[in-house]
Amino acid sequence: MLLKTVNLTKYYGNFLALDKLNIEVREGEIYGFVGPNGAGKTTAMKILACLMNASAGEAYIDGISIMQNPAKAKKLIGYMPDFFGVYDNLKVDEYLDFYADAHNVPKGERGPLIDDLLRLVNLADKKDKYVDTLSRGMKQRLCLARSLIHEPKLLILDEPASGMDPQARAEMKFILKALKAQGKSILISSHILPELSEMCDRVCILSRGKAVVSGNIDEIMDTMGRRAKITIGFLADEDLQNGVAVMRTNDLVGEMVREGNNVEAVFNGTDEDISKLIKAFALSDVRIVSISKTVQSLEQIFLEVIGNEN
Amino acid sequence: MKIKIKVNNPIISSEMKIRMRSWRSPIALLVYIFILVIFLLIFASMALSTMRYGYSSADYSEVGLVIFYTLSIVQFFIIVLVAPASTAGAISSEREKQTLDLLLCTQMSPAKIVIGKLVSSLLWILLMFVASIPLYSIAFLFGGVNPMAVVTVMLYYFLVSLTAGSIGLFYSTVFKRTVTSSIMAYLTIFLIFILSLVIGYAELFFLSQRGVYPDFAKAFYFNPFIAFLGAMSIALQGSTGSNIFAVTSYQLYTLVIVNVIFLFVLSSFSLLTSMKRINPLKGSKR
Repeated sequence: MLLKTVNLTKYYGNFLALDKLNIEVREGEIYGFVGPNGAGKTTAMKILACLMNASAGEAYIDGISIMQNPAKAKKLIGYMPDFFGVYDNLKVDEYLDFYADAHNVPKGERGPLIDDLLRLVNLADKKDKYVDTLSRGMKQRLCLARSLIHEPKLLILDEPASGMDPQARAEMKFILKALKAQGKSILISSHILPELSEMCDRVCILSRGKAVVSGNIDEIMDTMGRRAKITIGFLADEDLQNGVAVMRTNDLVGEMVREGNNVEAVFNGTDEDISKLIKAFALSDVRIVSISKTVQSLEQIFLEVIGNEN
Repeated sequence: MKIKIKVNNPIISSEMKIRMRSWRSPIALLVYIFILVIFLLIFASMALSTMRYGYSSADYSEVGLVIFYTLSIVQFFIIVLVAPASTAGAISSEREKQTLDLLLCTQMSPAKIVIGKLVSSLLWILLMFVASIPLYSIAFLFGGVNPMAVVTVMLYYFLVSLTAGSIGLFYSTVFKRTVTSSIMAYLTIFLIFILSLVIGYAELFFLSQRGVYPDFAKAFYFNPFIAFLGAMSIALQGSTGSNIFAVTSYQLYTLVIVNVIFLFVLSSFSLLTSMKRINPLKGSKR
């Protein structure tokens, strides 16, 4: 286990921003933090990046206590905040050299390291450009390179793709996957949930400072109940009336919405349960013309969890 | 090798690089030298116009001293104005640009960040000192001034810029906006100069009411400008055999020593508080 938090808690005055957060990030995995604004994602990340004290709890990186030994912990952590600026009048390679120096990277190693990082983030051709002339997406990638300059084991990325266009987001996703392939562990927060679900090995949904649910997407689906929506098309109104009556007798069917001769219903069962439902329609002489299933996405789960919490 | 590692501070090199790449730096240096030259020309011509035909070397020395005092005093006040301005945005501008967190999550300690910011500002002021040295050579042409006086002046400039810079730095850790921290830094420095004078004169006034007439008020010990004049007097005593205050050498030395200690204490307090203030983990190791 590379990162472990134990009952991490943060109060701002009387306001509870983080409530006994317990997460574990394994080596070489991408771990996602999902939550609405004010959920405590940035607070948790800032504590883990040694930029804020926790009110209670502990956090360990590679067995080192972040609270007791922040100087050692910082060597293992690369942090990219959600909002950041750059220095005017510094060139791209000078910018990285400055942070390499700040991380005590020996001078002789900096040149090749900077070249490698610029290639990784696709900015090799911008090496001699002034940082303030780069586009937002390029600055984000440069900041990612900055967070990697001391070759940390864990990357903490707070909304790394915020404000980026789709192409820049895709590039960022590609780079993060490359970093994962190199064995880096990544703790990432984002509001772009489909991307996060596609990229992360595991996620944690935060709400009001509390980890509401965590695990890999499948585990979360199971925890939440593997919910799907089924849409059934009936031949005639009479079939629809009888079909709804059949569905009402099935415990796996939840809320139903009628649209013309179609019924959309929440379904808490497996594919086998759907085939049993079709059989029940046939036994009751209900004529159906179509049936389709839509599995809930992470975003829908997220909205549901947050909705329940609120 | 060990010394090299300890001295290395990335902030100093990057700040100097950024500062010297800006067009403002050479312009500011030019304006600074221009102001000194203007004052020098005015006061030197006034001193020269008072000389009569058949003047002696003592007259020349008077002109040399006028040039020296003019340069030193004008430069003193320029430094008092420049030093806080160059540090008042040191931390607040990092906050404004959202780069402070990026610095704090590096291996650099808050102390190293604060020292780096201060030294880079002081180096800029040092450049101003160095640029003004050729003007001092004009005073040497006329005589009446010794090299020790120039060294004393430079050391006092360093001390004053260290204090004013530290005060500016302290406020830049207190306030989020550079404008606010600049105003507060100037206000504090203004109060140090003015309050010590006002209290000093009040002290002299009340003592005179009781029939006591001291040479010097104790509050003047805390005035950097009075102490600066005192330090110049001590340095020039060998040349002129007099000092600008009608006090004993003992009082003059006491004035300078007390003021130097006061300025060191003030800058140390400002710097230590600044380091503490920017440490995001202050009070940690629960």
